[in-house]
Amino acid sequence: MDTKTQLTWWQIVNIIIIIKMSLLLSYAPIVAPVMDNKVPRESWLVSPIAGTAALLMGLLVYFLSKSFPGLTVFEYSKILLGKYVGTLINILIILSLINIAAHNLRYFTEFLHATVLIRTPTIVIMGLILALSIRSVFAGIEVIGRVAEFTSPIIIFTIIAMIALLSFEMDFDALKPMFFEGYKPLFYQSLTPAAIFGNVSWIALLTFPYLSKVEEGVKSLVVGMLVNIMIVGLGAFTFITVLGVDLLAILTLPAHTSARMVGVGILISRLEWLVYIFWLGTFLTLLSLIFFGITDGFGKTFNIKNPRPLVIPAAIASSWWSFYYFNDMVDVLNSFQPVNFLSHNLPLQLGVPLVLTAALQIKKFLKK
Amino acid sequence: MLKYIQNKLKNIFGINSIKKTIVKENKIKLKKNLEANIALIQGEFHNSSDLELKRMRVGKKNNTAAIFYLDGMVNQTLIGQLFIGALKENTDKFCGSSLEEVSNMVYVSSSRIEGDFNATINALLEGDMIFLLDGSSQSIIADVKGWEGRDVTEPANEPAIRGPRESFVETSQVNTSMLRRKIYNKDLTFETITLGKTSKTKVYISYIKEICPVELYQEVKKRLDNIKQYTILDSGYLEEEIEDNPLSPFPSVRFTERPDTAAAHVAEGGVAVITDGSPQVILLPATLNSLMQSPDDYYLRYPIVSIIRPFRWLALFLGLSAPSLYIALSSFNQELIATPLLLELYAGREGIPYPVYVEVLLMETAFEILREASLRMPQPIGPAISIVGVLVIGDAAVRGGLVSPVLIIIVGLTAISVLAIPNLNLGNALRLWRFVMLFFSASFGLIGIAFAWFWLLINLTSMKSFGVPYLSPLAPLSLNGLKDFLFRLPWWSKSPLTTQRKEHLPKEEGRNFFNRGENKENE
Repeated sequence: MDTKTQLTWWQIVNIIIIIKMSLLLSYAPIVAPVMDNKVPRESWLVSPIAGTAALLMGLLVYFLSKSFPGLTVFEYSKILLGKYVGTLINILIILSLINIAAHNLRYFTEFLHATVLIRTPTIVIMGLILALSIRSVFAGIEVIGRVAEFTSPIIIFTIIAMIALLSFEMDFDALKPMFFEGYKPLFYQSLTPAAIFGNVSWIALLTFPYLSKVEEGVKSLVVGMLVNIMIVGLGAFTFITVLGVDLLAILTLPAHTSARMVGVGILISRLEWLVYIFWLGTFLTLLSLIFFGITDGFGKTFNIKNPRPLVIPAAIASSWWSFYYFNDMVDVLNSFQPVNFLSHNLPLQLGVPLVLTAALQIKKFLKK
Repeated sequence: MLKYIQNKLKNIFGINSIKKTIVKENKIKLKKNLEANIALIQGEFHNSSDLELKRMRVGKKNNTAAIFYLDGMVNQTLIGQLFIGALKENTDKFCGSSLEEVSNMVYVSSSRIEGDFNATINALLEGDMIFLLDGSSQSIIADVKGWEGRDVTEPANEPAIRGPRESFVETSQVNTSMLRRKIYNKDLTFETITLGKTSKTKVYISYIKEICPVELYQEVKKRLDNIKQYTILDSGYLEEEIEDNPLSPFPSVRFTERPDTAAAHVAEGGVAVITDGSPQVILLPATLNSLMQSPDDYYLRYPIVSIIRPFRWLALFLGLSAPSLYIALSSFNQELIATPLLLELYAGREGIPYPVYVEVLLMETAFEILREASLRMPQPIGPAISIVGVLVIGDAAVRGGLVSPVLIIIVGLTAISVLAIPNLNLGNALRLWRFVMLFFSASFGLIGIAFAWFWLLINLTSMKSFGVPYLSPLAPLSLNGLKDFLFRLPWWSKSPLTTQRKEHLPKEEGRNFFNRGENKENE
């Protein structure tokens, strides 16, 4: 009996949605001040720009995966680049994943520590998040897919409900005048979000080998990205119209501030709690998938039959790196600056797929 | 020395004697001499007092014969009228020298001639009567089963407002017939296997051949065949042996005492396992959704059911989280409660000498003890003790300043919520997880509850029951399955096939079926 693990295209859609929501709505880099400490009034347009760029990255990975159906990037990198260079690329992918895990882990830990678990030591919060992620990885990629499938609709519904409740506070004049300072601020504003949307590239790299029908990869990419673009665009639109660009320029967590403004009667006055809980779900999926990728990478690169236990050292390495690399929350937030963020993320998102695609094309050409 | 100890241990646990019996069973055949056969059978039963022997003479030749049966296992009237009576009535019509002749003379509806000693003994154990004739190395096995059993009554644990009011009983033949009477279909199949080397319990695997996936009933049979228990006294023994997730408190096997529920499950392509001696039938596979369904869901009108079901899921949430939410809101996240309500809450807690989580833990423990005691209470004093437990202790605890009135409401609400869950085992799992929730809530507040919920979600999504994901049709998503999930769509909106299990199985995930204790995907 074939025991190969399978994901449905719908599960991948939900993984894509949920993983992006984690950063795009918690830190909201779309409306974070990056240029002259200002937020462009037309920032809500960042979402389609960044999303389209990311979709192209995702499609690149799709065509790569389609050429090697059922094989992970750690397997076909060796086929394309040879044993030694392939292994080197795999190690670089693993290190990149550890780096991304460390960044997200520290960000979310600091976020929880700063907002809701003020008296709990960060190491304890980190331990809890890691415990959940490790449990997920041991359960397998199908479980990660199912958890995303379960939580994603609830999160989207909550976000839309909160936006609807905030609509009473919207001031559409905050959007005008558009493009007063030209197009440059908008494109500069789009750089970090493009890299965050660009996560779809490594999500596709890690999940497409497990997709039940690889042809459905395009469908999952397009649907996932469209939903992301719409929700994030709507979110940014809400932030700008509710909080205004001047306030946004000094806020660290606009989603948190906006959520606090929602009130229904006297009982439901602090809906931001729902946001914390759902962010926990999104970060859990994000970290679980990264750690799954790391263990999968070790397993496929070094022919380890059961690589799952390696998630524990991987988790320890990520947490150590997160403390080594980031001193405090300020460091973490600075890492979202376009120069820092792109330098950390693009090598994996764009570099690896480009190198592998180039190798594939050369191989095809030489065969002809 | 080691061998000696090993043998001693085997003797203590009766392993050697069972092995010897098996070996002996394989060798012994019936003899031609009647007295020798009588001695063999009596020896096999160690001259047990319930083994009845009646000697007689039959036919014109007055041949010596004997009948054996186990007292209490047979219908004596049948033996008297249809067997012995028939032989006496027709004594002039046959010589009585062959078993075939005798067999033709008696009126019993089912009889056969058997030469194998083991089969003869087994038939005797199952309530058949054995007829032995001198000079014949065979026996007549006549089906005269008849023992005292409980009458079919209303289901005690699964009551329904509408629908049939009969429940399974301890007699497996009655249970199989009840199922057969619900599904008049030639494809309804009962496969019988005998389990338990000591108890030799009959277990019936029931399914509809045309509908049930082949892998499902083969897997059920395989797991049952692997059972090494010596004694099977109830279907509960089988549950632990065949379930997919033995470490999880959440049941991955469903029980029912209602023939209509079992019939519906089998008709949808599932498997029902009937254990002789148990009024609880096992239904496989089981999902969380199926455990949350009640028979009334299908007998009451769909709009009513569609309103009731969400409340049931709310009860599941409250049964798990209500006390932990109380701890989180009153100790950690007070900002979530409106000020007037918060002041009321704190006024109620005034003078209570310990933190909220200790208060909750005390009340939860007291409630669990009360619940456990109420299960074993003699019926006449039950109501009195309940009044003492609920009114006297509860009221006195509030007046004495040991617990706050709000907490009494919370604990009461939690208890009622768990009782709203149709499946007892699921309710028990919720009780257990509630304490995990309490720990996380007392440590980290609302975020702690969220951690516990996500941990639970990961556990539930990783569970499978005979290849079917536990959280289906929600994760993995099955649009067909959603027709009968939170709401029930009217019968006329569903095509007959959509209710069948085959349709519910997620096709994409189908490759991973039937790996017991899996989660080691893709190794």
